[in-house]
Amino acid sequence: MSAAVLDRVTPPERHDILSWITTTDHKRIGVLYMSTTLLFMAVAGLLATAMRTQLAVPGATLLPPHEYNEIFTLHGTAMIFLVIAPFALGLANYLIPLQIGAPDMAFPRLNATSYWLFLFGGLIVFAGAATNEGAASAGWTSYAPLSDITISTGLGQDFWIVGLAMVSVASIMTAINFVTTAFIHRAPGMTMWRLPIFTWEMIATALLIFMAFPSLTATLLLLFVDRRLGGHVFDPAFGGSAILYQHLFWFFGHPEVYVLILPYFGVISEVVSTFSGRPVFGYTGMVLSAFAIAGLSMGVWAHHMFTTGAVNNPFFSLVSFLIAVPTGIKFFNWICTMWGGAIRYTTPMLYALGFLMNFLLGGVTGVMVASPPLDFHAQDSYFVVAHFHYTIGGGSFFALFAAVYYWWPKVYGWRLGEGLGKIGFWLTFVGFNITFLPMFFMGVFGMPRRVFSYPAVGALPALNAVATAGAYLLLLAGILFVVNVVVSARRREPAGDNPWQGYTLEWATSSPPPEHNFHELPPIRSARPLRGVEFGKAAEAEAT
Amino acid sequence: MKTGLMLFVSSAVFSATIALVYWLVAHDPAGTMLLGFMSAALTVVALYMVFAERDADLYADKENATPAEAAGEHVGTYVTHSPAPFWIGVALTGVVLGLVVAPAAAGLGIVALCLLGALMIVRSR
Amino acid sequence: MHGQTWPAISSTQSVALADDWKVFSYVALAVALLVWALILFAGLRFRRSRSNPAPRSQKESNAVLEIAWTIAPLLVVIALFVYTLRIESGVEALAAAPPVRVAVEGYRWGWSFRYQGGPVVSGTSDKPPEMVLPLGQTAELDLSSRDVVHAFWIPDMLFQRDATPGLVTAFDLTPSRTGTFLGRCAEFCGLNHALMTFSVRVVSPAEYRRWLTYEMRQ
Repeated sequence: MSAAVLDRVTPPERHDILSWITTTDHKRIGVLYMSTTLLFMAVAGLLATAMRTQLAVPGATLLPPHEYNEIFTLHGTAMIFLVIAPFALGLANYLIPLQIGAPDMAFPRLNATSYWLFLFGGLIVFAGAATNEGAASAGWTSYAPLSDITISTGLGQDFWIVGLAMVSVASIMTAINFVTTAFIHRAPGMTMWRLPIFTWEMIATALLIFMAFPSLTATLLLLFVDRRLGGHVFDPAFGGSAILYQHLFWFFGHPEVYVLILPYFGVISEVVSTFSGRPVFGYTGMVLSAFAIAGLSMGVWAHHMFTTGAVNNPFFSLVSFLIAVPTGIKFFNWICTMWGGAIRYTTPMLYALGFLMNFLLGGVTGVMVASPPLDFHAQDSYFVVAHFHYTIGGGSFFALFAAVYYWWPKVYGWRLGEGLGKIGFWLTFVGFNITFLPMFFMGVFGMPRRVFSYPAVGALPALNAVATAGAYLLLLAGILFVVNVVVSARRREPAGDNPWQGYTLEWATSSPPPEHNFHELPPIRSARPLRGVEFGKAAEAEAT
Repeated sequence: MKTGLMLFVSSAVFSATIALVYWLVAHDPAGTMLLGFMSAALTVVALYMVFAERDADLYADKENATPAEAAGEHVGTYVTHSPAPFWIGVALTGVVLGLVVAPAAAGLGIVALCLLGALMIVRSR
Repeated sequence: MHGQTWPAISSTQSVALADDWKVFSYVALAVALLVWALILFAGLRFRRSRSNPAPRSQKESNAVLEIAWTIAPLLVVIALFVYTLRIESGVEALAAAPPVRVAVEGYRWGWSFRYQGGPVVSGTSDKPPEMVLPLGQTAELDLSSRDVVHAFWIPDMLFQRDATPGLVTAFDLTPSRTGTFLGRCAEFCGLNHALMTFSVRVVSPAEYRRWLTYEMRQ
């Protein structure tokens, strides 16, 4: 059936608000996820700017201790649960059916349910700020007994628990959807070993969610039982265990950070491949390393507990060191993807390069803190804050923007401006490094994390002032991104089916795609179905 | 679908091995239980995949398949709109907030949710 | 008081810990510089230009290279693991009969130091408590908490240990430098976590005995 005939028999796509509320179309759900996460990102970013402002000078009184504690709790919770992870899930929602040549996800209604659970769960977490003692303030890790009812007496902590429980259930639903769709709904000829690397990374991510999030749901439930239903699971005074909380939390918490990075490894593979004009080097190694990382990451959780004196440090240290190997494989594969290419430095490619430079530092400092003796000094200090911001911030966050700039034309049919995009990249890159590089030294010099201030002694005041300056550059970069969106929306420069000359199936359909995704598919004989193939409207026009 | 089968079988074997090694090295019941449950979950899926793989014959797995070959195959009914997801979200929000404010109310909420679910199933027939 | 700058390495355990820091920092820096150089070289050398309009190769694998960059990092991390294991067991070793024993208890938001056969020193942020220790003599600290999880951190000794309620954990400190060193709580414990400081004053053994006698008289 030709495209023209299909357009006549298919009812036109609705654009009213009700159609968005009742949608089960994976593309709309993806857009809902991604735009919601960008809004949460703006809020969490402003919270961070407030924190950095408070810390710019020692002894500042801008944020009193309780408010400061609420703010860093919300910043961490939001960035991890409501921004970085769900953006990736939303992106995958949009892309997986397109990349595998399917008309939608395997379970469209389940898909939509996940979105609404995520949105309402996130809003509940923030709604805690309006309760009697304000939002949760026990950190995103919410250790017991600190988060127990006798100490965290406010309702905000309960809102945090139940809101995150909803987000957790939503993520598990999405993971089930991803794996089923990727296994069952691939187009003819799209064998598993021809899948784009992004889709493979999402399968590994889904497996991780499937293995780790049930522990989070259980931990949240047990914490609620302790707080509101008379339990004493984590209360040592009644025979409970504070260490048990840490085991349960980190069994989820560590795989979670790989949920935060694997999708973005996939983004980088796609972007670097397209803009180098080369295939992803070492395809098999990329796939196997994704699963090696996922598998190993389930066995490292107590490296967050090295200083408790209550866990077997050598076991967790060894497995943590081993994870560096598959991660290194990916880095060398990306470098070889660029090698011998003809690299076009578009905004997405710049962000990808920024990712490579930043994440490397995050990764090697991760190997450092995998050494328990080193961790005895670094634990809970700004060294660790720097490490995880280099991986999640310098890594995932940069790849997130690479993804935004790369797939925006596919979603909307017009491009984001390259001029403002490139300026924004440089502001982000410089601002990010000015903010977080000093933090390694702040940690070595003895500044703990989660402190609302510090004494006016030694090198800390100067280092903190520099970090705050960087934070303001990041704020400026964020504002510039919004300006770019508005300006580009006015210009509406049409993008066409394949503005970047990408190789994967999402570029074989119109921008934006029709509701059922594809009018027709090219033959799929490799992991780069569009290589050397002029496909889509342009080809059709030429043929007639 | 051999790849999917390999994925879950190797994950199940790997996690069971790690669980055993961890117990022998650390004698920590908490961590071992967590790893053990994880292995059990993966084993369940792996067992399902073993049986599912026997009947599997996807066009997707045929290296030289074309869309024309699969034309006319009834893949399933793709729903494009449904009010259910939004309402499930609202209902669960009510349940969890009820849990926080008054646990008894949450019980009522769960009953309401079940009635909603039954209503939707009846209406979709 | 010494603090918030390069750590003073003021215990014998921290000499080993500082070595661990140095080894890992050098290896991390070396790897980072190497890979940054490769990234920048590839990124700049293979830019599209008039002299480089199209990719020169579509090669997508190289078995030798891929095996090499799997094996080499594996060997490096295994070596690092063996090294770190040795350092850790040295640092965590407990002396059989330590001359000084202090039971340390953290609470919201202060510390108490109960010397075995000696005084109890305690204080909160208004007047942070000071732990006096004799130079060159091993002190075993038995650490716990009265309420939530805290952490007893002496940056100048490159060491911290969590103070967990319901758990007593022991470690040795053998001061190797006189002076007064700032201590912090490192595990977030609520409102005044940032203010939960203490100090460790290392004095000669004679001075320590004088201090003990003085405190016992109080």
